[in-house]
Amino acid sequence: MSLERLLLLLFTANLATFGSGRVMVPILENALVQQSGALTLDQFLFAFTVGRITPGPANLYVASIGWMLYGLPGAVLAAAVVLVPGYLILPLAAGYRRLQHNGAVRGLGRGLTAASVGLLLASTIDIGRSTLVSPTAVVVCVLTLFLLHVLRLPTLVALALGSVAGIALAQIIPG
Amino acid sequence: MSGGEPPPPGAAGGAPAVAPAGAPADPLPPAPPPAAGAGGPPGGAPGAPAGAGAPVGLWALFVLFLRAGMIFGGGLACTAVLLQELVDRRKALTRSHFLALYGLARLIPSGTTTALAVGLGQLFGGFPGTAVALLGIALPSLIPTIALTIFYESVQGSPWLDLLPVTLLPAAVALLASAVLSIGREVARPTLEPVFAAVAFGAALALGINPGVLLVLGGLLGAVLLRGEPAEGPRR
Repeated sequence: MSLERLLLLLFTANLATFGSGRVMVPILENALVQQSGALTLDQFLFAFTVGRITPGPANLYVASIGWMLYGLPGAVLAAAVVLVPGYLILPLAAGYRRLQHNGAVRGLGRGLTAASVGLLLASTIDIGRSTLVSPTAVVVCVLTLFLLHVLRLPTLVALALGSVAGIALAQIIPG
Repeated sequence: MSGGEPPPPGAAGGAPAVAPAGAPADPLPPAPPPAAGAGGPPGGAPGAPAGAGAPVGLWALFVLFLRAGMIFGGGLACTAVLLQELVDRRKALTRSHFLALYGLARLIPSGTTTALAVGLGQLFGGFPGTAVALLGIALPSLIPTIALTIFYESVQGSPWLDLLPVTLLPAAVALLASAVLSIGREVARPTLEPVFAAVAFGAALALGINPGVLLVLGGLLGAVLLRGEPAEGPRR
């Protein structure tokens, strides 16, 4: 995938998902892993995970993808194409009263959110199928989800504990 | 990086550090009411006007956004820090002005935090302000992201990498599942939204339709079909 195409992909995926790093996953996974094979699923998941364990805006994991494919220029440009649309707020600030109460604009946002839940579930299942291939992996996934969602531990802590459990289990259950 | 580093993320104090970042409908942590009465905030800026305007220099702006960018927990937590610092502490703009900008930023098809940074940067520093704010909010994320990616590439082919299938990769699936759960709560309402989600799910998984296409369709159909009810919080 050429640098221009990568940047165009990131730019449009970011716009279409209102800058949500997680909601971008189905689009990017489809384009970068399934269609073009520019990245392996492992690489892609690593990039996504990096985005979750670093602070700040969550869509900046595209910089990791940019780095994997094109080094430093790729990383910087990838970050730039998801940051620059923020400038849309300047023209918007002018006539916002009209927009804020516009039902269609609101509906657009709700429609996008609703569709993205379904898409995200679909790609979670899809990715899960090729990632959760050993009993250990399944245990790590379920455990991490429990730590994150039920105990509400910080992402970094949940990932660390899940990983430690995975390393320990791998010693006990070979393969 | 810069010398006088702001305190680490832990200093966010009561900020919702573990708030699911995908919960846009639950705006901001309830802030203390704006000191009822004109008794004057203790030690507040002498005679600070109620409106926007207490000047914030470019460097201060950069440090402020750098600090917000260091907060873990997604955009909402960053926003909470900006609100605390600019409205409560510096009184550089009013709460309602800030919230109006925040509302606008949520409409921007890009990160809300990014748009908010541009809006606030413009307010306090014009165009240089926007650049400084963006840089500040992005650097704390960008630098570790690149560092970790370099680390990942440097361990290719080493035994370290054999551990990934039982550690970070299944954990990443858990992150995704957790995202589904927290965004899903946003949609679980007796409206057409669950139908949208179900159709998108089926079309993507069973029919293999391009997710980008489905997303745009969802947005367009939403603009027509979901305009009625006020889009308020998931459970109120």
